[in-house]
Amino acid sequence: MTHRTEPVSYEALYTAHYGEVLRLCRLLLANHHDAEEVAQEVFLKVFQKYQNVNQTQLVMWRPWLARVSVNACRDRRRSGWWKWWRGASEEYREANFPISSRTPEQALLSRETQGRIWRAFQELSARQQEVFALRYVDEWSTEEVAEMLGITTGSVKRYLFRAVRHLRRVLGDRR
Amino acid sequence: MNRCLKDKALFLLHDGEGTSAQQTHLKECEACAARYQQLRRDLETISQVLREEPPPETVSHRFRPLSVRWLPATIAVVLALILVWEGMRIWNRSARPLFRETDNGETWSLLDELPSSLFSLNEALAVELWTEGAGSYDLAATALESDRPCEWYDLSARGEGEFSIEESETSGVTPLRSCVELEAKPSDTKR
Repeated sequence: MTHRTEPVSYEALYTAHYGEVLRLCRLLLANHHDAEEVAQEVFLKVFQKYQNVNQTQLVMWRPWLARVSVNACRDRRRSGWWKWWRGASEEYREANFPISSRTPEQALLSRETQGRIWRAFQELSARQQEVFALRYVDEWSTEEVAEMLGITTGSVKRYLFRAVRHLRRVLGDRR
Repeated sequence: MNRCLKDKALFLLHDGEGTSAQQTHLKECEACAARYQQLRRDLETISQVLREEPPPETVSHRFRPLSVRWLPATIAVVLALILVWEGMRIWNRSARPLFRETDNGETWSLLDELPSSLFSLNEALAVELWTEGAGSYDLAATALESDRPCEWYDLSARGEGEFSIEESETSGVTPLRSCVELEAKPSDTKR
């Protein structure tokens, strides 16, 4: 996905970015149904903004989407904290995610190790999750992450270092 | 730089930062180079796993342990509940002795003795009146029946014991009214 600044149609925006927004929401919420709902809310905001934006105005949609998605996930976590306590184990079993092509190393990873990485990620604080997801999953630069989250680059590095140290412990146990 | 790099320095080097001395050390030190490569591989692996769908067993929050973020709030709530519970216990303990005091035997015995002493006072007056004159007996009996203090008790002491119930009935004056009249017009009672 590239930084597109030229005017594009709403359908093109949806097709190009929906998967990325859903993945980010799924990472931050750890619940597929909540992630889908929030992704839909995000694209409702995209539609509203799209109608208000002058077609000659260039919009950096991808960073805007990432910022709106992070904020929407944060709002969802705050408003629906009780939902985190309800059972959701069946939700993922019913979910039908497309299996993307895996690297050879990924293919070698056991299901158990993947589960441990996911659990370790869920144990991170909300801010550490946001920073790690934006920096290493969505591959934004440190400066861009800092700008999106409204924090300094030094804070981004601190959150990243702590998150990486925690996540590497899981892999360290495996080795 | 002879000392090996710390994890944070390796992480900063991976992020495109770090001093030139650290970069030089990384090129020269095999151990640090191996650690650096391991960091890169770990980050790639973690990122790749998180881009994929999560395994089903990892997403249930039903038994998720309390996260560190909620720990202070949880402790505060628990402490508040303990304080409220302890406060209620202390309040109950301080309220119970008062109830016990009202419930003790002394109070009840005092209440038992009070009407009897009142009756004994009336009876004593009745006996006194009986001994002083036959007509006064009726007055005393009426006074006991009406169960209220009256100036009539003092009539015999004041030399006015001849005024009997019969006379009051013929004069159409009730004993109570006579009491009032005695107080208001002492001259009218002297007949």
